[in-house]
Amino acid sequence: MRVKKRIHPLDLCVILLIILCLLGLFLRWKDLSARDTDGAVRYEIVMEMPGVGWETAACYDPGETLYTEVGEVFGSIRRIERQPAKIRVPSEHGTIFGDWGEEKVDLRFYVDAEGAESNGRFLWDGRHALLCGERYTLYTKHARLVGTVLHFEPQIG
Amino acid sequence: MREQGKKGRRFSTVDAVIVALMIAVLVGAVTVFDRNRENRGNDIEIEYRLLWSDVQIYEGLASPWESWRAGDAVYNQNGTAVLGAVESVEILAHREPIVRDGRIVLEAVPDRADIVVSVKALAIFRTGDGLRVRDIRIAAGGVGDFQIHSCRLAGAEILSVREVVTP
Repeated sequence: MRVKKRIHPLDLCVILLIILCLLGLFLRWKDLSARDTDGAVRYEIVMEMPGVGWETAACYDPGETLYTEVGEVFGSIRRIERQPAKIRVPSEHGTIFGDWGEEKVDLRFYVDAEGAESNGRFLWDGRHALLCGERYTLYTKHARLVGTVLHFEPQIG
Repeated sequence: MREQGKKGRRFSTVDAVIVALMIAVLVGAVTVFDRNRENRGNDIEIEYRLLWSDVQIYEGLASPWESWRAGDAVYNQNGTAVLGAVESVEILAHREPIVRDGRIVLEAVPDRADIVVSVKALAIFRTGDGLRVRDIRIAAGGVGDFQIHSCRLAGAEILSVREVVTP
């Protein structure tokens, strides 16, 4: 006599959980693929890091690769502009404006990055949109860069 | 009786799926671990300079840095890991911008000092992961707490990091 197979309620719960997980994965994948990306796009990003000491400023070099905190490639430094950092000091005659001379510099990084374009937005890692005014913490081999994005535009050719 | 015995040892399809998933997770974990181990770089000797800025000097009291000597250990924030050895210590006057004759000039602040400590350490480099000493990233522009002897260098800034080239 054959014993009728019955699914245990606990097994049913596990099956349901697995189905839900698979459904979640599918929805996530569908969401990512629905971002009608136009393939790889090269962008030039201009970032600023103000008030950097001269010794630290010397640790950044053009050609270096920039990585995110989790080790993903963000782009590479094409050019660095150095200008004396601006300073303002209040006095009895009003605020006096000047600069730090050689003590501190404002660094402007021109970064080449590759990502995807979606609905007019640049996804620097294929997922996250790059935003003007946003601060990003990036790393070269020897230094940390906390830069604010000032501008970015696609590279032609 | 026989049926009951069989029931106790039943191994359902769901159990098989769970076991398969667990094996997949284990295999994945081992693969990632192995890849990380393969990527583990060689030891690189580095020198980094720490700036402990705007420190108060108390009259009549010995300042902690007076007892620091070359070779003394530099510890991490909670003193559990050695992040290198002191190479040299510089004591500089702390300067701040003030207005004099309508111009901004940098002037030394009385009883305040900037302490610059050069530290030598062995670091490991991994692409994307930077230079790490005892798993702590050492990068110029970084800020952290360090310890030397019984003194905490709170909010010390890493001024520069360079690799030591041996001839």
